[in-house]
Amino acid sequence: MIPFFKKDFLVYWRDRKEIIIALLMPMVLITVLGFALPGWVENPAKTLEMKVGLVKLDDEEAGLETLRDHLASLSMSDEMITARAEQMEQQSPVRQLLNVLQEDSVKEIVHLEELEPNEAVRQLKDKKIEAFLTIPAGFTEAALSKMILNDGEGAELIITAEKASMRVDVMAGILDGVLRTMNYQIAVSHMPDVDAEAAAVILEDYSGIGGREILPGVEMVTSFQYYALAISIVFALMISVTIASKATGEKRERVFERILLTGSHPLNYLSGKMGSTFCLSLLQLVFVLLASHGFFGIFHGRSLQFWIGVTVVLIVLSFCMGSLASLFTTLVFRLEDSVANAVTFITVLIAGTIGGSFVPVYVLPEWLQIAGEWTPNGLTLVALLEWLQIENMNSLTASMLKLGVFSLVIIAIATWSFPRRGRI
Amino acid sequence: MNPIFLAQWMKDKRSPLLILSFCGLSILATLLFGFGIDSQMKISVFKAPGMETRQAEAWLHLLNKGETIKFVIQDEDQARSEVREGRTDAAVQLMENDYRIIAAIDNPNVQLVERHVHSVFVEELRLRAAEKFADDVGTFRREMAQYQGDPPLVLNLRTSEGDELIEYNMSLQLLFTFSLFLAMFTVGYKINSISMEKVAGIWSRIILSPVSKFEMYTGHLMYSSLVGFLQISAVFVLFNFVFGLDLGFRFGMLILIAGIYTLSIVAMSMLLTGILKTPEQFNMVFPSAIPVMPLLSGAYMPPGTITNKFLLGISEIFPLKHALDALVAVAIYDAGWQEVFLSIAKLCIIGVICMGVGINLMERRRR
Repeated sequence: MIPFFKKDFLVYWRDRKEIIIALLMPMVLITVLGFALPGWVENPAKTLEMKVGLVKLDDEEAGLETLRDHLASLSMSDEMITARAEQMEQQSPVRQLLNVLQEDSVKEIVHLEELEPNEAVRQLKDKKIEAFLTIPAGFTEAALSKMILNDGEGAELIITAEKASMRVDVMAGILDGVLRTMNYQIAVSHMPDVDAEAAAVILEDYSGIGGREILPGVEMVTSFQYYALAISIVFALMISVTIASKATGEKRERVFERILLTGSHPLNYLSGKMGSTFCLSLLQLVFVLLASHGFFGIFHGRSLQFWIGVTVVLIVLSFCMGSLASLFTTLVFRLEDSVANAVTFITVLIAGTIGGSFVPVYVLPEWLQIAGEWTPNGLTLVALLEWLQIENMNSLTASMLKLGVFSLVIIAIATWSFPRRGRI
Repeated sequence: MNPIFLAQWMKDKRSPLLILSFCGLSILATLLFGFGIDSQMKISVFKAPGMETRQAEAWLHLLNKGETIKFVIQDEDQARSEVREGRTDAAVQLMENDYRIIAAIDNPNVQLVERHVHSVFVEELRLRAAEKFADDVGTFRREMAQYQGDPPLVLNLRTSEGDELIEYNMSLQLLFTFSLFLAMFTVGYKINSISMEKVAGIWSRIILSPVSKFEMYTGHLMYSSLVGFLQISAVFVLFNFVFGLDLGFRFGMLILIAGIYTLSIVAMSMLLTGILKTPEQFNMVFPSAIPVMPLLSGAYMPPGTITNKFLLGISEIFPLKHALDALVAVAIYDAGWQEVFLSIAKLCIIGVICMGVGINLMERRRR
């Protein structure tokens, strides 16, 4: 077995272009993806920040003044009129709205700037602002007359944007929430059975309810960690494919027949493939992970236990890659070159895609995500991410047992169907 | 008829299983991915100990009145472990008059869930408080709903021209992404047969035949383009005519963009074939480089998610980005030629450059 191991190892080792690709490409990808998409694993709230224009065409004072005059003309007692006027002052929607927009939690996301209408349109076209909010002329008057006097159609706020986007949605969501609360309060005050006392009880501040429970013991997975793991795993998979595809050349040049003529057992050839894949993928995994640790500190300050766990996973994973290489090699000998090639290609494509190595898992439908955990790369990725977060020994052992059994089954299939002497 | 084209066709015709399964799987995968995508976010809820199932179900019913998030009842342990493993952003623990958001991280989705749950709870709790003052609970709820149906304050979204803002269709974008993405693999696989022929010596023998170099290249390229184009078109046709998806009013334009995209992908594969010597190397690099393209182009995310200048710059060199821009513009915004001209022009430029450099590299190596 040793000479065959050496052969496959050297064949790979001497192809410098391939070595460089196998070692540098993952590093490049991890760097680019880690820097460029910090958002989707970590806190992406920063990417939601937006500049929003505010176009205020409404004259609040004038609106209130008109309504006061209107109130005076109504046949109501003076007390009622004073009460209503006070209510108006308090409930002026523009003021409430602007107050909410000045809150810190909102300010973090929405940077508001007051603009002239023409200026706002111009900045929107120049993409300097994401959207602008228009408070139309007569807004206060229209809104309050419906709110207090139940008269008229009410008023509308307008968000103007070029295209729908996540940010516009977020902003619309915030404003919608504000308006909803106001509408609700007004609705309550208009209900016939509800007097002022009751309204106070009903509109009591419920901000005390709810709250968040942040799950303990969980470390956030950073995008560098995610990509370093996902990409090094998929490249290990690629190594098994590459080593197996070398068999195409060996079949073409009748290397295998010549090996048989020397009296070696065919399985020695296969175990050479397996052994070299094991070593090469382990080397590559260790290199890529250590390099990303060195550059980006992905496993900064972790315990010895953590490192031992990672080592175990890498060894089992490399073993699994070795078994896959032997299966792919068997395919090369059992099938036509192009068919074997395509089958391998498709297998890698499917496993890579649903295992979360190519496509971020979260865009896939749920059942595919579950199916992805049945691929060796998906299983390893999930196991490593979990280990990274909670270091749960039991679940790691379970995953590794699964992976080990999977590898053994694959080896059994490969050995069983590999051509025997005299059958080639 | 070009003899090389014919040869490729005969090869596939004699053993059609391979190419058919390749295209078939790609189409199937696009359909599976595309239709499996739930635009609704799924959030698990579980009840606090001692809470009655009936109450939990009442809350669940109220929570599910919204459209963006779907709440499902689940076992507490499972819900917690899903959050812990990052498979879902958040879970909700229901209590009689209160709730807790269970999260491992803080992101916009969690905030979205929290805002929704909070408003549902506050509204319902207020209604419950108000009912105590009301003479008739049913009438009260009805009147509240009626008043809120015609509220004094409303919010409207407009474009700067004053039209209604068209809602963005994210699942359509993902559908396009997957069909374009998977077509890259088919095309790459077909183009790889050039290097396979080179390794096998067939290429050299054809050079000796009366077939010209031009014919050799065009034969291969046309065949690969045709296969890729047919695959994308098949997906579009299936979506539009069989599944009745709304792909806008300009189906012909979509097909045309798909065609130009295929050509640029063929060119890109040629460039890679030129750089890499053997089909084995191609098989290693291609499947690891291609999946990064949609990721970097932001094709899996809503537009505007990626703001990094460097990243936006990189994505300019990927045909996928421009094709996706054009397809989305046509299908969602009903854009005409002027609007998508830039994207198409960029696709063509990428195609021409890649093809030029690729063939050059391939020829240079032979000397």
